[in-house]
Amino acid sequence: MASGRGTAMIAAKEKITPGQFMMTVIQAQIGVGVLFLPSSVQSVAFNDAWISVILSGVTAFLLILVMWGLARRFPSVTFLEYLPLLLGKVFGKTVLVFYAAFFILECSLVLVLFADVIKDWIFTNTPTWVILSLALIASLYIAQENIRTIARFLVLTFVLIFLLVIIAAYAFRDANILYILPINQSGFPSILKGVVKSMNSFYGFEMLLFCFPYVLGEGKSILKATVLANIFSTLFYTFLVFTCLIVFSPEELKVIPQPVLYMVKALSFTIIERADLYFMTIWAVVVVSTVIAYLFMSSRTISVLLGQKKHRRTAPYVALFILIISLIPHNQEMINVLQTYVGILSGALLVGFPLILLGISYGFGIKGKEQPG
Amino acid sequence: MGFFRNMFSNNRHVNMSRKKAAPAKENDKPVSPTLQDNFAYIEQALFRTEDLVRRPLAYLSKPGVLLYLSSVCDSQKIHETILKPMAQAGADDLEVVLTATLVEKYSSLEPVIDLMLRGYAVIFLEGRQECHAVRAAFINLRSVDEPANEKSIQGSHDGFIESLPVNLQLIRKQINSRNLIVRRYTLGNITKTDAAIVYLNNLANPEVVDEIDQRISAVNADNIMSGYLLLEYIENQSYSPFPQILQTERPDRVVGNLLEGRVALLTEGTPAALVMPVTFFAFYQSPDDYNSRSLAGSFIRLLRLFSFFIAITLPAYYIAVLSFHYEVIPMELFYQIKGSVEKIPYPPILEALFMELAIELLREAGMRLPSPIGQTIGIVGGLVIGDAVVKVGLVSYPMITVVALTAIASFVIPSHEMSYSVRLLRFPVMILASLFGFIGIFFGLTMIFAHLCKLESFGTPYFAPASPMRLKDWKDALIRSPFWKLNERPLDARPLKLEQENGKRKGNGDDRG
Repeated sequence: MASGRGTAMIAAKEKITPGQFMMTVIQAQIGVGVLFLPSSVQSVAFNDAWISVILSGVTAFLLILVMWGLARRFPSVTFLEYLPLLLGKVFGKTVLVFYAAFFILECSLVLVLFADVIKDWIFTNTPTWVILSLALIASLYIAQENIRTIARFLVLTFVLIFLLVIIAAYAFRDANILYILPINQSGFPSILKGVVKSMNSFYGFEMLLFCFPYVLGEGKSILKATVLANIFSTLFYTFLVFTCLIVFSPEELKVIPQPVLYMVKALSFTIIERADLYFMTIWAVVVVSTVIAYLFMSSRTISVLLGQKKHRRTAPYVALFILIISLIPHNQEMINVLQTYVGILSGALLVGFPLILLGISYGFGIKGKEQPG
Repeated sequence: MGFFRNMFSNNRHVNMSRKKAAPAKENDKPVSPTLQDNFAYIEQALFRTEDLVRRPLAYLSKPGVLLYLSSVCDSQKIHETILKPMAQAGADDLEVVLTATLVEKYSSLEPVIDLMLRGYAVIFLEGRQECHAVRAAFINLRSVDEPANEKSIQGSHDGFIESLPVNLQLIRKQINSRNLIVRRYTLGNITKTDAAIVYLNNLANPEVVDEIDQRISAVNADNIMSGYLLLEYIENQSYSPFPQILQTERPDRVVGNLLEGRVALLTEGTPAALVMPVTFFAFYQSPDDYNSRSLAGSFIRLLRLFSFFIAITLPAYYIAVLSFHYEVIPMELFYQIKGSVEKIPYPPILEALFMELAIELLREAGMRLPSPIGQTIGIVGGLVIGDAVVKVGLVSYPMITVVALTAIASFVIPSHEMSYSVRLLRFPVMILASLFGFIGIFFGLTMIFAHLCKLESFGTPYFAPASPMRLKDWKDALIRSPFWKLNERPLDARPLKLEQENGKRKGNGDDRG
């Protein structure tokens, strides 16, 4: 099989460093989960939710290993180009359609949850489409560009994550460590359920499939960058969940949907009141970073499906499509349905398929050419 | 869409390949042995302009004629370096006889006419098929005073003037290196302005120099009277709010940038150099940072960068707080503000726009007026408008405070261009804040920073070293570390040699005790 078919050499101007790649992955991973993860995991894993989050991080690590193993065999092309090589043209394209659908739905889910929080906390009367358009326009502006510009921007906004940590860390003065004791009270099955629930917040490492050939350096340094990114995200999420668990009693956590916001709302810094509003504004930028990553991935996939070389032209249409989809769910039930769909798709496409593809690649000995230069 | 494009665009050559109009060379007339022929031709070529002077003379008893344009030539020089030596001459060779610094021999008339426009006097002798062009330009220079808009407290007090040779000399005076190179251009099809790029051969990246050279050569316009006109032809994005080329009137600022591997463009008639490629942070550096000690320099520089955020977001923040998030400020302060704002009949955004526009008007008026009247404007603006506007009930006191702080913050920036762009940018952010509160401000800022990340200046990232992040270069961008810490040049201009100093010392440790 002619591998490396139709692959233009990646210009040096589009390459990113492993450090940039690491922060891109972190930004893709950390998103709406900041506000939703604590309560959603706590609802099934109770006071052991933080263990679930750590285990999710480990699961994500294993998935990263699989994806890296796959990407390493095609060092000069992206996932979109080697998928047809592994599965044949027709079937490969069909699978790509599913991937595109997943990225679009995941992006919509992020936006739906985002708009939900904004409407609940700040703008009760502002129409949803206005909030969503604002977020999408800002994301589109940078997602249209090549991966290098995107990485530059994501590195710049990475600093904001530390601000979130600092604000949240202030809540430790209200902490009561007894809330999480005894450890493993809820039992291993509930913890596993929590892992499934929290997995959605860890997705974003699939950037690896799209960026591998663009990252400078050897395969190992790319793996290192991705793993470090995953460790950072895991620690960050664990920190947030842990903080919520020790600040709020289990009874309180049952009734509040966004514990992190309630937690920082109580803080007062003499000249700054209502830290939750600042927290949410910073969180909005973090969410936009996630949207940028998913908008990039979905418009890249769709460009390949339509036979376009660049995603600059397709990105606005994809963004419009995402906007329309995110406007459909208008109550909690529909959001849950969307969440279920995304959960099923992600299970199949990010857990199942990479394993199958890796098997095909090794079983039939299909490999890509070495990266030129 | 083509219809609209035709309606607004008056560029007839949009779809044609851009070709430089070749100078008319077909009628290159050789110098005639008869004086009358030459004179007639030149008079014809200059359309009988009345500043053309014809001065008959005799050289070794042969009749001759001296032609020059009285408007560009110095009669003193003509007398001293042409007429006097010729009258006392003994030798036959004119080039030996004339005492002017530049004497050139020509056998055709067209190039001679161009030279006459630049202040050359031309000597024709009867019977010779050649003529001599002698430089006798009238030079009227002002002194190299400190530029009024880029004053520094410490450091040198000279500035560029409107003469290219003087400006070049100011640079060469400080860099005595044979690597300092000057490349000359003649720009403008009608104006024929002299321009020069200056760079250090062993530092400036040849790719960047080539790119600049190509962009300058591609300019095809009648009027390139000054460097400021050239700027828009060669910058990357004219529709970006941020300036991508640094204009400065200070030779020390140019020299500092040249030593970082950048390129400076100087133009005859422009008392400023254009420095490229530059980053966002270059606009926030001032020679004062380098002339004071590093702690003071760092403090001032951080203050300036902070002022960028104040200038863009402070009025927007105030509007957002008043319109949406009044709970973020402490209760006591809130009551104070409420008492003042309650009497204002319209929303804070209108109040802010009104006051911002008033300040811009005052600034513009104060700048145009001569300084004695300018003070009156200060009084009218500061006392009458500032105080009366509140008493009348048009604007609240807190808004005046906010707008005044913003205005001060935007004037801190040591570059006028950047100051303009910051003042422009705060309007969209204010409008976003009035519509969407904090979220609006953050989306505005996101767009601004996204734009900064996208922007490039001559192939180098504009927002370096913040994006792409290079912490090593923050030492001279965000703060100003001691000079012995600045071992390497900033990477953004891609200099050929990165190391610029070797900060090793005899003892151990960083502090030189």
